Amino acid sequence: MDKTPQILEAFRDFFHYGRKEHLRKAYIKLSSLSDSGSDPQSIDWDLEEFTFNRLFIGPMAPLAPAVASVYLDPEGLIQGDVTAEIRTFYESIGLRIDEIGSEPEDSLAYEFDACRHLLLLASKVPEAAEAYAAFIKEHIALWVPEFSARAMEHCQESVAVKDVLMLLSEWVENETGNTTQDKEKK
Amino acid sequence: MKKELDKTDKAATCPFSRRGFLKGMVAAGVLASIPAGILRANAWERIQYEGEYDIFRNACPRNCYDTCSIKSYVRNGVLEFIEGAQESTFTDGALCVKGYAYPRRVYSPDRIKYPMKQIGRGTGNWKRISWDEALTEIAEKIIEIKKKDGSLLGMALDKYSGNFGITHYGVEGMMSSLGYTSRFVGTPCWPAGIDAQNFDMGNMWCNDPEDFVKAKHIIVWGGNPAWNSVHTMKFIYEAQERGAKLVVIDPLLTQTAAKADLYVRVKTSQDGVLALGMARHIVDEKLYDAEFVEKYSKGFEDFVSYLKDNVSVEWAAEQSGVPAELLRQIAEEYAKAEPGTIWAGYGLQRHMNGGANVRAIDALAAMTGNIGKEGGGVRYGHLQTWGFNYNAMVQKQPEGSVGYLGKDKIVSEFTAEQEGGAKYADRTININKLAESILTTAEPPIRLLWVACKNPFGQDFDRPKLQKAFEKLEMVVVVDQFFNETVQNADIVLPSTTLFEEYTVNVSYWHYWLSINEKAIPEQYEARSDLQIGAMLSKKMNELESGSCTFPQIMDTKIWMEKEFNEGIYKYFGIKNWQDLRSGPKKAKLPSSASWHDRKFSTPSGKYEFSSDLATEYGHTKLPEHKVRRKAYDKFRVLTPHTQFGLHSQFVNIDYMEDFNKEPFVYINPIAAKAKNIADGDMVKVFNKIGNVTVKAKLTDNVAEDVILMYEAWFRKGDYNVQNLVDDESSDMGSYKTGAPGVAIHDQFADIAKA
Amino acid sequence: MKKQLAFMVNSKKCIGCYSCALACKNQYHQEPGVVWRDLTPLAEEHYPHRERAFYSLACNHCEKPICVEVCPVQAHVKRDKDGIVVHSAEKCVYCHACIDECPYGAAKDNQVLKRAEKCSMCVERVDAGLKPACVLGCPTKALTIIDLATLDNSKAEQYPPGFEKHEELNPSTRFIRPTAPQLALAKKDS
Repeated sequence: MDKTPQILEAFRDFFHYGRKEHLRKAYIKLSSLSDSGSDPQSIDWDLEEFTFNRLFIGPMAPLAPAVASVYLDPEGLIQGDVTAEIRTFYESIGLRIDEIGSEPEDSLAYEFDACRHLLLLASKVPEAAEAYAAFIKEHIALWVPEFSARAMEHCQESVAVKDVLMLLSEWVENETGNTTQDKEKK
Repeated sequence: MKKELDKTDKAATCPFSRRGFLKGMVAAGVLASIPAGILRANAWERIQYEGEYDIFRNACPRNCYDTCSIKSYVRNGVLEFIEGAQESTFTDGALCVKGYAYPRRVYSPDRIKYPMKQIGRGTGNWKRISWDEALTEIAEKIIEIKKKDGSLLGMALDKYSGNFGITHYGVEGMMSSLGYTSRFVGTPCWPAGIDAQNFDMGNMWCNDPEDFVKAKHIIVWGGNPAWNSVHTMKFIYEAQERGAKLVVIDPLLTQTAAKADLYVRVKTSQDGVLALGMARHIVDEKLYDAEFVEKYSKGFEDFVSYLKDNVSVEWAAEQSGVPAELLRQIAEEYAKAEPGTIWAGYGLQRHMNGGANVRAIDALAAMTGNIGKEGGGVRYGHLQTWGFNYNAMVQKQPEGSVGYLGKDKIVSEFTAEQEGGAKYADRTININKLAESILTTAEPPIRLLWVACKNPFGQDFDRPKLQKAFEKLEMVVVVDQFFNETVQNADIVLPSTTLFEEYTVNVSYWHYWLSINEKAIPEQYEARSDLQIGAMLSKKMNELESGSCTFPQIMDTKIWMEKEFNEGIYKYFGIKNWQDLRSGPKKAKLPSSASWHDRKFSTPSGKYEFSSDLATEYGHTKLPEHKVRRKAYDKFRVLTPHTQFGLHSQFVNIDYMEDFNKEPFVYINPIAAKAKNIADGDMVKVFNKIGNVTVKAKLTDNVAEDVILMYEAWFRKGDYNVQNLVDDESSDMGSYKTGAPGVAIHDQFADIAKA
Repeated sequence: MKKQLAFMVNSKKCIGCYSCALACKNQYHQEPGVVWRDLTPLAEEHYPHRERAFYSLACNHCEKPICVEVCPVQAHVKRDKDGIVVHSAEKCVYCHACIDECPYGAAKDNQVLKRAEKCSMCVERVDAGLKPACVLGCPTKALTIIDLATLDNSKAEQYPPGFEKHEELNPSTRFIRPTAPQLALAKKDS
């Protein structure tokens, strides 16, 4: 559990900033934390950035938006019910984004930031651990694996983005298992 | 593909959020000890917003007669749904198929979110850049151009009507604030008809469309309001219920034609001939208004002589395709009606003889005394309600700016002539010949192209030539919301806001209502309004080179909006200040619903000019004479009017819209189809000297045997683009009032074959 | 006769603009593919010009609705006070009965949320004294709400050409037929 906040930060930064240097730094961090990954020197970071934008950002319609609503909301409606629920959840743990309604709170980067926040809180506020477990099992686990699979369909020559997506799926799977176990232990 | 939801838990996917974790605030001390992430910690006191909606007033800024007043329902910073404002008797609670797609458009996952740079134009390889990086790159290019050429004439603006919010003339202002630049002037839309009305009457000025109810005879000529001005239809229906006859004259059996009492299929572009034939008959039967022509017109005798020498009803019938007896009947019914009214649509002037067509139609209305009558007139458009300050538009060039030494001044139908006073001026280029201009303009050539409120690859002509022209450009900056074809050909794309994300003010060129447009929701992602972009660019320019840009660095669009209002507007609409508009749109206080009600025309003679000397100064005939239409250069005439499901490249790409408008079609007459062995639903290739389009066929006799119909639109899936068939041949008129002639958009020809 | 609110579809005034269809989407945000109100173009046997006359159709709020009859969990209920047939989507168990049985296709199959869905005449708006979204959204007032108990229009028909007759259901929607123009057609353009 120690390394987890750092893993969350690395995932968060990879998806939030999406620029060459950030992708590379986050990738290096993830590689070392998970003891895997390719040599960053051998990776074409321009290609990775182009792939990242094509998949998640634009300017063309993103192939696999990294937003929960797209996979969970019945209409795939961003700023719909799913976003609103997540916003409410953040409020209950004392968080919000700068300008409500300008970006969806249920994007992967924000959700992982919220997880990190909860983990760091957990040592001081015990319910935070419960909230974290529930968030992972009843929300993150419901969309991130599907998102990851969809994104990987379009990865072609990418190395880093593909690696991160695989790591992401694995991590969510493990964490769901871990949190279930923890719960059962109680 | 969506996640399979557990059947027992249908409502939402976040059951954990209802458990109210950490109810009550976490002590401030604890939160502060957590290292900051990208989410912000809440201030410990928070107002929980519940239940009710925030209501805002907006206005549709699209290039559309109806410019709807909108009421927006927002909750928790999110736009949930919209309605038409019921305070306006024109909007009257309803929007249209496009307007109702707005809530989906605002939050479309396809929207451009951040400034981005394409590494290698057209490669599809994009990098996200910050606003600062984007503006730095653009600013550096501007400075480079100034050094290289000694002026900023190498920077050009291609802008038209993507957003008619008054403050958006700030884009032109931004250009001026940088120096003397190249401007694409003119309009693809309605220039020929504007010139025609100006030659005849001294201005383009139509009745209040709500006075259609007073008409006793209505001719909708070359226009299709059932698709393009849906809100006017109810007034036309009311007139019919009161006994008016509706006649629709159009080469196509449009939706409006289906609502007519009589539909007349005229040969395309022979509207002028038809009008002259009707005029001849009215002269023969002495059905003209003697008082009007005597007191209020100039040159009627010359016009009568022309008709007697050159126009016979039989000739007009043969040329226009309208049987002589019917031609006479329509002429008599129109002339005898008190009043008769004509809606001159924009389609009929998108021809090489387009302006001449409108002059002939104007003459019909004038000779029957219908101009200046409530319920009468020739309705084309007006700009009576557009008397704003244009504060955003009028900016001074920086000290020492060098420009074009020619005589051309910026002319635009929407704004008064921009007088520089200085000896220099902007270099003006015909907006309708974008491809040709980019290829040939020199000393200096166009190096940096700024595109805003326009999608040239979607709407401009001779698309293959345009592709070639773009190769010559050193930098292309596009401000837009979706990844359309022009964005695909850009170096830098800047995300723009929708109407709900900024303040502005809106009026119409058809009705007489004024609407405020409030900022209802925050800017989405990093989208910025044209005004804000100008302000940010100004800041960056001045950082790099002090005094290089005079554009005010105002980021608050509310301030821009406020600066547009003046006493004239307040008086005209009977309001004290713009806040009055927050309770709903307001209508102009009109002394009469009729334009030209005092019969004091704005021509040199002060009268309606059948004979116009001014027209000859621009190379046209004095009188409204027959002008031969363009000769066909291929087997079928190609008509590419507007679809009801979109406005050029806006809306058709929204997925809600795709439920009702999945794919494009070409409409072919069954006789033609049979000859080519084409069945309903077959893929067809439409081809001519410009290019080709492959599209699915629908058979209908809504089109004549030798006409094919395709609607101009951008479908996000597929590469349908009618501009592969349209050349940039000019229309006759347009230079006088709009700076450049229009385009003969409907004078195009092609052949078809099964694909 | 009891109060029965119904849609009046005036196809004479209808310009096939699809505002009603999109107004419904704007109000309820149904996902792509799920359409509660749509326009049916009249076939050429019923109207001579292709795609120039339409019936705007959603739910017909029948007197004896089949959906109410076949629903095992009473998700469809016909209101006594005004005859609106209200669907409560959250009760739906996706048995497909209403989707299969309604001959007008008013019950829509939402394959994503795995439930049936249907126009409920914007019942929450009606109860608040507002017009249904589609009715407010019609720019020509071709689509209106009437009360069959007080309807007095000789031109109003229950089964116009192109609309299936189901007397056992007794649909409440009424129609005014479209009219076609007198024609004067130039044969060729050239």
